[in-house]
Amino acid sequence: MTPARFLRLLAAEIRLIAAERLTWAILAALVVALCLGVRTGAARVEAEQASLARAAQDEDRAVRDARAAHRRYAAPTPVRVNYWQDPTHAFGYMTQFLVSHAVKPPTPLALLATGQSDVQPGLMRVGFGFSTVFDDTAFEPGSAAALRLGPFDLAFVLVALVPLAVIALAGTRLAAEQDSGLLRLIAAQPVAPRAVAGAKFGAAALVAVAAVLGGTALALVLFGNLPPLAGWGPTLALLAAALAAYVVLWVAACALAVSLWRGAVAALVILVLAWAGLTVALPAALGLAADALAPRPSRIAAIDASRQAQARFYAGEEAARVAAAWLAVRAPEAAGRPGLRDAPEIRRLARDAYYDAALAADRRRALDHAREAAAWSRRLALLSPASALGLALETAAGTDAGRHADFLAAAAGHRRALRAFFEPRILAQALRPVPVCDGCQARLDFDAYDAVPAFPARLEAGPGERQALLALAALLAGAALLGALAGRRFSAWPA
Amino acid sequence: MRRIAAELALLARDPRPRWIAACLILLLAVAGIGTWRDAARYDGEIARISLAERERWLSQDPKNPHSADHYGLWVFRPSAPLAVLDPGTEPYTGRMIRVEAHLFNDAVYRAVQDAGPLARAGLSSPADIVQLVVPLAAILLGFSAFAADRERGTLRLALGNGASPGRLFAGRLAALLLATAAVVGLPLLVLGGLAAAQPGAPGWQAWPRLLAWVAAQVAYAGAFLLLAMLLSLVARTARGALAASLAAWVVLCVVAPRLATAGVEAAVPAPSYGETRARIEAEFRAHRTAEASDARAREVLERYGVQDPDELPVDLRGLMMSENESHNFAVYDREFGAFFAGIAARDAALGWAGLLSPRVALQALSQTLAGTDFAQHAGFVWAAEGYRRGISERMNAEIRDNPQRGGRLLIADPALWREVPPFAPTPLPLARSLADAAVPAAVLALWLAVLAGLAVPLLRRLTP
Repeated sequence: MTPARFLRLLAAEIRLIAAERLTWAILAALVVALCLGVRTGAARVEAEQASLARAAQDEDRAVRDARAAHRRYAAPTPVRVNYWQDPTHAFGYMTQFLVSHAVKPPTPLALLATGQSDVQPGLMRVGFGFSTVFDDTAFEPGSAAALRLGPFDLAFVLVALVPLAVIALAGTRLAAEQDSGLLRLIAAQPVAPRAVAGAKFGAAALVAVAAVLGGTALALVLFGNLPPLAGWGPTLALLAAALAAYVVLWVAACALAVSLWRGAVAALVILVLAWAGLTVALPAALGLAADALAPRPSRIAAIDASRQAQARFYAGEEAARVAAAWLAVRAPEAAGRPGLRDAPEIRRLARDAYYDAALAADRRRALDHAREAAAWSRRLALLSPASALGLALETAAGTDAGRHADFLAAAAGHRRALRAFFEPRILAQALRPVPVCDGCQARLDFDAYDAVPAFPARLEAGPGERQALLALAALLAGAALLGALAGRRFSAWPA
Repeated sequence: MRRIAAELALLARDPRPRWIAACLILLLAVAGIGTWRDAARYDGEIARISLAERERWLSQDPKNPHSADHYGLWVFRPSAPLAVLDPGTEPYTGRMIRVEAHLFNDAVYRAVQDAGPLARAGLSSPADIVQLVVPLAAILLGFSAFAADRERGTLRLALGNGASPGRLFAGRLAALLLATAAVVGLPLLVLGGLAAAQPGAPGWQAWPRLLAWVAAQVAYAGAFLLLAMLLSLVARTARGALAASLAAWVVLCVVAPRLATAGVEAAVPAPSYGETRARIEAEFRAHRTAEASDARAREVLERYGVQDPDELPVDLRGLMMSENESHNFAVYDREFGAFFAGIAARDAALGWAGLLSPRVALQALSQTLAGTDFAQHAGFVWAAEGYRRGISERMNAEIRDNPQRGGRLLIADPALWREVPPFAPTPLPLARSLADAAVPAAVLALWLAVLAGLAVPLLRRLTP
């Protein structure tokens, strides 16, 4: 068959598909689902942004309050100001008043996928001391029952519902003709079965790709409230290509199912079971594999380690020994000064350093596990079309486990940066207290509120681009394989 | 009974039910072993650390009671025995709480945080298998009940011989239901029975919970069996019945549950936890400034009619800490009370959302009966908070009632630590769980009743 004839056949098939009421019903349902998915994602992103804005306001409020206290306490007052009530004191400010958050801001494509964002914190207030074993304690404990069922977000629609729409659209092409007896008539024409199947499934693929990409774009425009996408264009383009490849893969799966020549209903049954296997069962099995390959360290063991450290610290003279050892390193010239090692700030800094050292191995294990689990998930996800596309969407949305692992590491770094900022200031005040006016109750040794290190929040398009590219390659390979198998089976009409 | 026995004999000759049963039992066993391993590991760890924590608390050196209050301890929520069947909300809620002075700490470190992104595909427990896979199995058992006979022409023969469609239907349904109950119910009963028989789960009333839980799962399977048989009554071919049943499965088990969550979140706004915490902290900030503390101290001196704290019959610091805590308790009660009530309202709405899908109703019912629902979590959180308050009140009372003059600090000995009992959380009773399960149970019963009711007109119009 000449290309021109094939194109005419293809155009005729497209016209046929467009003329079917079922097509429009399927596409309308899909567009509604896409709009709902986008709306759900946009609402989640709005809530996350509101939460980040509240955190930023709280940080500003803490600085405002501290400045006001500084002005207030710069004059004599009869009110006794304890160190834990004194934001003009570097130690008081760090331990009682400082509000500093590690934040994982939503990416411009965050509404694409909820990913892990509903179970892993995107905002962590940095804290010091014995209560903190790990930083990732913050979360919004919504309805756990809803978490179990999962969100109706765009990723769910694209990964789980789009294949069903494709199956409904393409799963009975040729098979319906076989059931109605028309296939014998077609087979009697001077046209090869591969050309007929190519035209029929090619038309279905074109319609499905156009509908899915167009519907997604329409939903994003109508309900997405997307921010400027500067720098994220390539990621979006790769995702669109991966989505198109995903649709083509399912059309190829439909062709393969039909090529078994068992009729329309059997083809549908095979396809729905394949869908259940590929979108539910296989990702679940891959999840078990990822869990086995990156075993979780025990949080309870880490808590136990933290408590053992506390118990050791408070037993006998250990606290005094730890404080003396800490001073000997940080301020050797003053280590022997009477009473210095019993000062609350020195004991506290020494205690925190001791505690951090005791927990370092557990914290490192937790970070290593987060990175390892994310890495295995990235590799294994490529084995299932659904999880390949799902993970690409999550990575572009910045709601993936890999970004979270990096975020945890950055939060730990931020905590160290804060400690490094305050520690010399607290020590300097302990060694050489700033003189204050007669009758002033506060210490008035700290007002560098604006110089406190801020968390370096990061928004990177790179990981999303890479994952979308990998997904695209995996999906194209899958589509090509299924297409080739179907093409081989379409070499002859059924007997 | 003879008809049921005949249908069961037919089923026994068919290899399809054997394959379905083998697959289901394998899946349930694999999932059950996984949840059992997780629960056993967790229970072993918390048993060890709880003992260690108790020992650490008791063996503290003599110190000021407020320092002991800050030293605190960690408490842990034990797994419900039936969590091996349905972990419910347990992986999604923290189960470890740091108990210490002043702070109503969150329950932290949820298992789902550490699970990889692929682990949420939804087939990780026997309950997940029942909710997603058992309907498929029921459909595969029931889709051919009438449509295959119609296709072969044997339905015409049976009806022509005077067989009543109603009796035919009831007999097949009963046989298939018995087969499903055996394939689904027995493995679950065995697994749950082993869990319920484990020592160390007082107060759970595990056996009645298990029986009710298994009955709910079988009823759910029965609903899909009914659905498949109804579609089989109207479909021209067995394949048509299967295709329609599979479409119904996709809608009811995959699409509708997520739509239900989206609907409930839109319809029942729950208070934000972040905002709740922010309100609490704002109130505490105003209360603990140097000026506010000074004003309260002066008010105490006035109340006792003295000028100097050393003239008080009680310790000023201890009294003020005690009164501060009372203030904080009231704020926590008000704010977290409203927060937990909001979550409970959302969960209750999800029970009604079961009208959209029996899977949503079963999930709510299943986790409530298994004792792994949010109410159990809330019960644990408040029990831990009650325990924390008990410790704080006792430590503050010790300081308050032993006034130290001249700025000296009270040092208490370990006898005081021994006055604090070990933390012993008790689960919410079965009666409370049954009350909470009333709505989803009624909704599931409604699904069964409607499907059974639909059979009547369809059987009347049954054509061979």
